[in-house]
Amino acid sequence: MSDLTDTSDDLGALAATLDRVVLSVPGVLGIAAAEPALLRAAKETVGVIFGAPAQGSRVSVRRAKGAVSVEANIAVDADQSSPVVAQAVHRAIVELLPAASAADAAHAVTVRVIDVVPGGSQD
Amino acid sequence: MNDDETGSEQLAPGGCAHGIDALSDYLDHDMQPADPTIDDSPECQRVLRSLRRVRSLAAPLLAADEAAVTTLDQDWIRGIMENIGREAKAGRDIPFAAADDSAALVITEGTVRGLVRGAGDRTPGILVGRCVLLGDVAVPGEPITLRVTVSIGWGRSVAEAVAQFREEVATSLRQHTDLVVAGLDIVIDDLHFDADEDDAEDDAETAEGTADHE
Repeated sequence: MSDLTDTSDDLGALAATLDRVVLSVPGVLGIAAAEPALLRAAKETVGVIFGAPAQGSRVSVRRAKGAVSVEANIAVDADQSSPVVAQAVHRAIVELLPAASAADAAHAVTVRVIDVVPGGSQD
Repeated sequence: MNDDETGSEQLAPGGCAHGIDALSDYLDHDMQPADPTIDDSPECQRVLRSLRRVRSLAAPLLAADEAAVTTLDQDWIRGIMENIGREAKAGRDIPFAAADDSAALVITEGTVRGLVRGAGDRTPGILVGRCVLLGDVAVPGEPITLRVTVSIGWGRSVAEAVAQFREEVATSLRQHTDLVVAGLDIVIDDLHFDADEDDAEDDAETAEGTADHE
């Protein structure tokens, strides 16, 4: 597992790592960005224009008052069970989150199934 | 306040930013040139699957006699396509039973409607027109009712098709949701000409016959 500390610089690395980890969970066929595609494209374009690095990750990671909130929108294989896959994704995410101190708010993780893909129809 | 973020603020999930006409055009062009905002969006992919299904039913109708395709037929196809576009929206978050204060594990309402539509795709003679979830789906364990409007293939046994469809829906919802479905109301509001197995078999036999003569 990656050793990720709770500094602002590491949020991008955490998001990128979570992308890989979530995609590696059995039954997960894809991740979608947690925001509308056009808004995401616009933000990335603005990032390029102003020299900010484009956010390539699709798992959303935010931090407020010390607590990290993670949001992952996933597509699930129809042959699997969505609740089971969602729990597996949740466990995989939690394992990578930095430990919250007593003063911090609790981490929040959202795993959202946004598609169930029938066998053979993943284009 | 120490606020950092990657990805996004709290916004509506994923979503297909393309309208039904744009996706239909994309299919017309064999999905070329590739558009990542469509190809990488599970919700757009769900709409594309449904559009392919409607097209597979509509194609023989159009091919049979283009001039004979009535305004009514076109309206029927258009109506189903509009339903697909409308229902592809994510809608409400439906929690899984395992969710708690620190873990929101959910499936979107649009995905559930997609499951129902998929059940229709697996049931010969059934084409789902509209699917509505009635009740507070956001409350775990709360009984809800599904109201599904379907079209039945001409010549099919309504009782058999509906029974099979009912079973397909129940199986799919049990596998992918923790919804407590108190009722599944199925309304048959139309008939259509089937374009599936029989025609496909006929085509295959024709092709084999042609090959035998060569």
